[in-house]
Amino acid sequence: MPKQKLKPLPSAAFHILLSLAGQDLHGYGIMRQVAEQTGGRMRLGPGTLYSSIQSLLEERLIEEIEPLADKKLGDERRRYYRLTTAGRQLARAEADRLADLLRIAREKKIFRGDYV
Amino acid sequence: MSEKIYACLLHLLAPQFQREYGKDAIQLFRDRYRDELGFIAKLRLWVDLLTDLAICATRDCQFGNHMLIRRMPGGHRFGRIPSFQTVRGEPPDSAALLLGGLFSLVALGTLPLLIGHGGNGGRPTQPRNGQVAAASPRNTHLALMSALVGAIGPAERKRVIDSVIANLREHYVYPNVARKMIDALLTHERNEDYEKETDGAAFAALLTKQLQDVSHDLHLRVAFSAAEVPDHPPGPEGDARFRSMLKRENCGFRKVEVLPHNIGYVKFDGFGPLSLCRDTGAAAMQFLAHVEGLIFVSL
Repeated sequence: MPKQKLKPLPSAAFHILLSLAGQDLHGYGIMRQVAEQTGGRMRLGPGTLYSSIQSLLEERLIEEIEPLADKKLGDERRRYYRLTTAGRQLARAEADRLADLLRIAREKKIFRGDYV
Repeated sequence: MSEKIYACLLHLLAPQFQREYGKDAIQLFRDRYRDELGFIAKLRLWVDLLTDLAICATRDCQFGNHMLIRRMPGGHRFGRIPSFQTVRGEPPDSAALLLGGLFSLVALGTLPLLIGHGGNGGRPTQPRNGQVAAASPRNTHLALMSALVGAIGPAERKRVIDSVIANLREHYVYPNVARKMIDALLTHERNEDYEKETDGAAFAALLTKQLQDVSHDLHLRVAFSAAEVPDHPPGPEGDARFRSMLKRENCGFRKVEVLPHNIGYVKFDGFGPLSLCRDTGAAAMQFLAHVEGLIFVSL
């Protein structure tokens, strides 16, 4: 079953979904957005990025859309991606799952100082 | 130069990945290379890319294993008239290379089987006479093989030129360069520069020169083979010989070490098929995953 490929949702795939939550992006845009939202800790390489994109496309969690005009990036044809409704739902479910984990971690008092 | 190195390294990944996302990966590299300025940033870029390649070559990033070869319509044999075969995109696999090498040796150089460079690991197409087979796109290499000895006529020349153009348009890694090469070929054709060319080898050499004059890509060749190319796989014996040779050659990896100041050094002399050399390549890249700079030396 295809769904197995994204169970559990890999971190890279989750970040890609989050990066597309606010806007449609091409591959490089996704990479930059992920880097930005992780404070530079996650810089997706092309292999990881596009294999994740492929999996997300297969699961219909994102979709490819018509290329947008982007003068900053020259005339190269780029593939843009958009979060689907199913993708948004999955991202929300994953966020809920992580929130639950965070709640448990707090209950277990494993945090210190500001994180509590 | 950096882009070419990265394009070569992409051969470590699954052929299907190269086909689907090779151009996008190179574009992403180009974007990062353009935007990340300074020595440290460039080092970080390479470390990121090599780490990514190592990870993808070993686990999460593989695509399906189905055949990447498809037959192109329109290929046909012209009776006993000398006929070119075209291998589109994906270079011949290891066994085909071995077989081609043996043929070449036996014929003492009269049966040159020119290929781009060592294949990227996909299973080959086994083209039938007059058929056009397609495989890995975004490959910088192009090979054309003729099946029969003898003179070639206008119809065959036309078919070869059309096939070359189709290959370039569909598969060549740099579309703008491909367009220039196509324009050059069409100009030569309009000028009837090929009209007097009736020898297959000379015709292939002429096309090669014209393509390289424009592209300066020495891996891009049009090849002529006077021998009929087998239309069946080489068989287990040929495969076994090639596997053995690759093992002896360590898949082309000659040296991998960490130099002073945490600089990685890789000496490798060829690209073996992914199916056989994935582990070797991944191990080499993994060994260098934490270097701050990298030197590649290749033939």
